[in-house]
Amino acid sequence: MLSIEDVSVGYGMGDVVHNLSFTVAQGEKLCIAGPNGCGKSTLIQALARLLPYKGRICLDGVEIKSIPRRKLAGEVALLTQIPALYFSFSVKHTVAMGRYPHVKGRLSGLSKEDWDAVDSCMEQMGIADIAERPITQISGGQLQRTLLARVLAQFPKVILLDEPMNHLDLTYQIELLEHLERWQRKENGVIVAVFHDLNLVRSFADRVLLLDNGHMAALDTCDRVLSGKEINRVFEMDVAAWMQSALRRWEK
Amino acid sequence: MNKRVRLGGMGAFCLLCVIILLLGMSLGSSGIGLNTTASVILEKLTGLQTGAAPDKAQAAIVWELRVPRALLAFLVGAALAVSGVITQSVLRNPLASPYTMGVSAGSSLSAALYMAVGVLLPVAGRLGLPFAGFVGGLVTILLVMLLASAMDKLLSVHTLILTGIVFSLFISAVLTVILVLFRENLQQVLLWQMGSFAMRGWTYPAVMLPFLLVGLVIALAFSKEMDILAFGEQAAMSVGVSTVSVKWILLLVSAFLAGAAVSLSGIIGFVDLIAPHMARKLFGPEHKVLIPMSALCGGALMVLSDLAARTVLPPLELPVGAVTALIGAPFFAGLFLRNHKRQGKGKAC
Repeated sequence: MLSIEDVSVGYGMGDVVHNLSFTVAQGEKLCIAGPNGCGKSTLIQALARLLPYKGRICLDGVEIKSIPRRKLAGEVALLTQIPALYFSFSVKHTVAMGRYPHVKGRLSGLSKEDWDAVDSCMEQMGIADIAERPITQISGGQLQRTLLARVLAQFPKVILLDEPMNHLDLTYQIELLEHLERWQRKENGVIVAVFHDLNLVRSFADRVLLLDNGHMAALDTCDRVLSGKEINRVFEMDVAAWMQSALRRWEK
Repeated sequence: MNKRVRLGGMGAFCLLCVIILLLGMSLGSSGIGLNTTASVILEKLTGLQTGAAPDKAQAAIVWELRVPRALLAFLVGAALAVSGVITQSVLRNPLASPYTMGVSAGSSLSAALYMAVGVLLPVAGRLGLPFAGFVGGLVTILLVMLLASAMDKLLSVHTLILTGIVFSLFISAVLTVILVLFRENLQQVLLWQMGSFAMRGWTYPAVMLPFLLVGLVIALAFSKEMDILAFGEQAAMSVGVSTVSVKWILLLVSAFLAGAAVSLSGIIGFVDLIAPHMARKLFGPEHKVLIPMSALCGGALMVLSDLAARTVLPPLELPVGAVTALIGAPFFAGLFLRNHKRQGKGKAC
């Protein structure tokens, strides 16, 4: 479904991500892991076509550069960490912005079908009861669910996650993961995620792409990558031993 | 907000704006009453006479001076307010205004050059000075955007604001040099900069109206994009907004509106900043509502400011820019303090 062929991404002063090639199958959850500065977010931004890249990124065989941005947003959606908010839109209006890729006509508003889709996404996320509340007056968890509802309102095939759990407490993190897994099972969609926390990676991913200074260090099932030698080399520590010792301390 | 309540509020606000406009046309030093004003306007518009015919001199004062003056003030205020909404949305900064991008500095420089050099534009006639001011404002924003684009292809907010400020400072320095070189024009330039709607006649509002309508329609056509841009460039792009082209269009429209307003009335600050905030507070941040309501709010504020400018210290007339600054500066400070406190508590504007 999503194929990445010899992709390099940078910011003008040299590449940060180097010559990556891999594919993500329909219904798969792939997590990108690695230490700070290894190029995880850069890669996610290239997959969302927010950054220029070399090589080819194809969605169902079509190079995403050739897809108009508005159309692409109807196929691929991105959820990032909570942005700074300057204006207090209502929850419902914020979710309705996700229908932008599907709205025809510059001066026309949303159709009844669009509003039905908005209501349905709010129902799924459990935020229908706060639909009229300003987004500046809801909790971080409710806000991130609102932003996820906006992502779902795009009706994407692929959801990209760029550390959306940052600044959320544990309950909200678990809640968000459950919503995402429910969507993935229902739609058989693709999720490519960047999480800092390896525990989240372990509990969520089908496969893990481990990056080391922008190069692919490993790409395999979650268990193999997280307990393999490469992750210790990349993080310069015995990751599995540390996680096990943390678990033992917890059990005591 | 309930839809019916909001619609009712919008209707009531429209009515209030009409009343303010009528007050602006009625009140003044010559003591012409509201009734006389209303009957003159009615007679001129429909040919119908209500009661005794008004005195010819009074009719002339109302129709030739006050009505066009109040209309020009309203249109200029509306244009500045819409320009302010656009700038605040694109720059994701509730404290931004079209002047942040150098429009007023560019217009001032161009107008000062026009006055100093005394070039006549035969096609423009008595609109030569406003034409020069408009072109100056538009050229400045084009240069700001081209420079920002050369530095940062994505036209990120910080690049735009910094480039706008640097350009404004540079142009202000050039303006100072020109004023030193052409001292005999100093007073004329300063008076123009302070802003006024006096003695403009019907030509100026007639010129302003199409600018406002065109700007308003384009801004409304991009209201969805402005809503989405409030969440940042990345979020907007991932929802499908072509942010670079949208920013180009919107900032040029903002300059088009502000440039036209500044060129016809001089530099009048703060309305572009205050009106969007008031409208946002009353009717919410959705741009399809915010844009027209800000226009009304800006128009009403400008009419009231002009009214204050000519009635507070009779027979003296204060520059309207000074009145808006006297009201706007404390408002601006209060807003900044409130935002500061809210950010301290983790809440946004």
